[in-house]
Amino acid sequence: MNAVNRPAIATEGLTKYYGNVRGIEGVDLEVGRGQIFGLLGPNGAGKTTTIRLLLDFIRPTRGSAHVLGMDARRKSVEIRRRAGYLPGELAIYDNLTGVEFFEYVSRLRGKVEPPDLSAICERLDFDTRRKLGTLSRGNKQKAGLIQAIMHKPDLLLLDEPTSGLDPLVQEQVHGLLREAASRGATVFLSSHILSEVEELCERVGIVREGRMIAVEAVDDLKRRAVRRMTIEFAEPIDAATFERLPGITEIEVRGRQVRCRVVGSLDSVVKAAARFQVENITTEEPGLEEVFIEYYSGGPARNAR
Amino acid sequence: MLDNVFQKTLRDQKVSGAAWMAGILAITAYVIFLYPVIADQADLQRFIDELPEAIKAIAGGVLDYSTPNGFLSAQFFSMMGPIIFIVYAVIHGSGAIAGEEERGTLALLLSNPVSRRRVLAHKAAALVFGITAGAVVLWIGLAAWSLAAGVALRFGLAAQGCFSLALLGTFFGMLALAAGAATGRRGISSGVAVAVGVTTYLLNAFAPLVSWLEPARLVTPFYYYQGNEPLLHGISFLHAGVLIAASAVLLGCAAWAFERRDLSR
Repeated sequence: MNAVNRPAIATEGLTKYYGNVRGIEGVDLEVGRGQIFGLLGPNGAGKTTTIRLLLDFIRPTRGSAHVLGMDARRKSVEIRRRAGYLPGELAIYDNLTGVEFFEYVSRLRGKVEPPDLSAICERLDFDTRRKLGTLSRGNKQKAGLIQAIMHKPDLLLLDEPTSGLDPLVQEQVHGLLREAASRGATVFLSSHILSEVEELCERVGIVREGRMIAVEAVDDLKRRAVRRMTIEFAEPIDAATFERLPGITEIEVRGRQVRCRVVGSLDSVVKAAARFQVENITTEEPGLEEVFIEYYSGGPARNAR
Repeated sequence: MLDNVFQKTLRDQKVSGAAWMAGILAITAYVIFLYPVIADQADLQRFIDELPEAIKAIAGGVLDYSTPNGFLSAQFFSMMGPIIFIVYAVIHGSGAIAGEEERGTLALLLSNPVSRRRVLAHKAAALVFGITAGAVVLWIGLAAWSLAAGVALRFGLAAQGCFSLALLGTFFGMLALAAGAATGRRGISSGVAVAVGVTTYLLNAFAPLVSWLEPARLVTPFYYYQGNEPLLHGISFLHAGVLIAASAVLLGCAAWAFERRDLSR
């Protein structure tokens, strides 16, 4: 297999301890080319550690990582030539304007400024003339994203890319990332927000306490997504209507209101409810913890390791 | 222009560097215009000659106020000059890697296709450039004010003194750079450099007074900086070579340590 056909990211038993403190433990991961892969987990789970290992900012205690078919340790400069990175806690050169910053990054990459830089800035509504130090957190985040994406890298490593951005801009960022993937780039991002990962990614790795507890397609994740649903009917309803529906548990009936927990598709619940007069339906996004509980309570087969 | 890390580093020092150089020009004016006033006081040299050796030692060793070069050597190059250059060198040496790391911009910089070694080389070059520029400005100030004040400074020897001072500054700059590159902590880096500076200054000053301590002078950078009295006798190639070699070794240590460790942020 030549380097081009190798996965964009491949780790074997990747482990990092900071002294006695666990970073990640025995992570085996493979991310194919052109994928949008999401690393999902709560803060402190080891997402940032994983990305920093891939960029050779930190060195593994055990195990190895290959990025774009190259050894993460020995070929780091070559990897970084073809990768774009957005740090999680973005600190940026406050004394430079956006124009100067992008020029600097371009020169470090030995290139002239990318021709479509101004188009990207315009799409994200980013003012390049202001000093970066005067910008809001969200606008700094935009500057960080632009410098990562502007030179059309083969791999994007993004640590919580949309944190601090308002929903409208998040949507635009998602658009940019999808475009990058559609021209063949691999996008590897971390997030602690399930809905973002569900919307954007094709595959998801779920990390908890330094371990990759599952890797699966987003469609499978959705199929098992846990949601809390509240339905209000025009008149009091009988709990029996909803019992024995697939995937439904914890049914609670209070007069005209039914609350329940649904795993996977909402189809059967909605269809059952539709036989009555419905006034309102609300669903609650499951928290990450709930997703994890699913995995811990001996959920479906995992293909993580 | 922001073509590389070297240029970016110098650009960041635009304001502080300009202030530093303006300060050098102001201090050289003070020292040079002070000389005719001191030289007129015939009794002063006799008074100085009678001072206890310990007082002379801490004031800079040889105290010869009879010539402008001797006066400068004692009044500026023994203490004030080293302080100005070492402070500058330590601030920028510790800021080079550790400062950028503590601000959190080092990860962003290193996500580009530049090796750690390259970043370090550029930072070190910018440090040496700044110190050298300061030494040049120092010489220009001394020469220009001497001409203006009618002081018969020997320009060639003054240049050698300035060069020697630049080497001393470079040594401490590289020390701070190495400590910062090894630890990523600015406080540790400048602390180490300042502690070494104060200790070796005192050791160099007092060692000649204590026979068993005398050989210890040879391990202090100040000995190689001023042992030969460059303002009076010119620089010694051996002494200059020792400072250059020591700085190079420190830079090598910086590269070695920086290459091997985890970035903290």
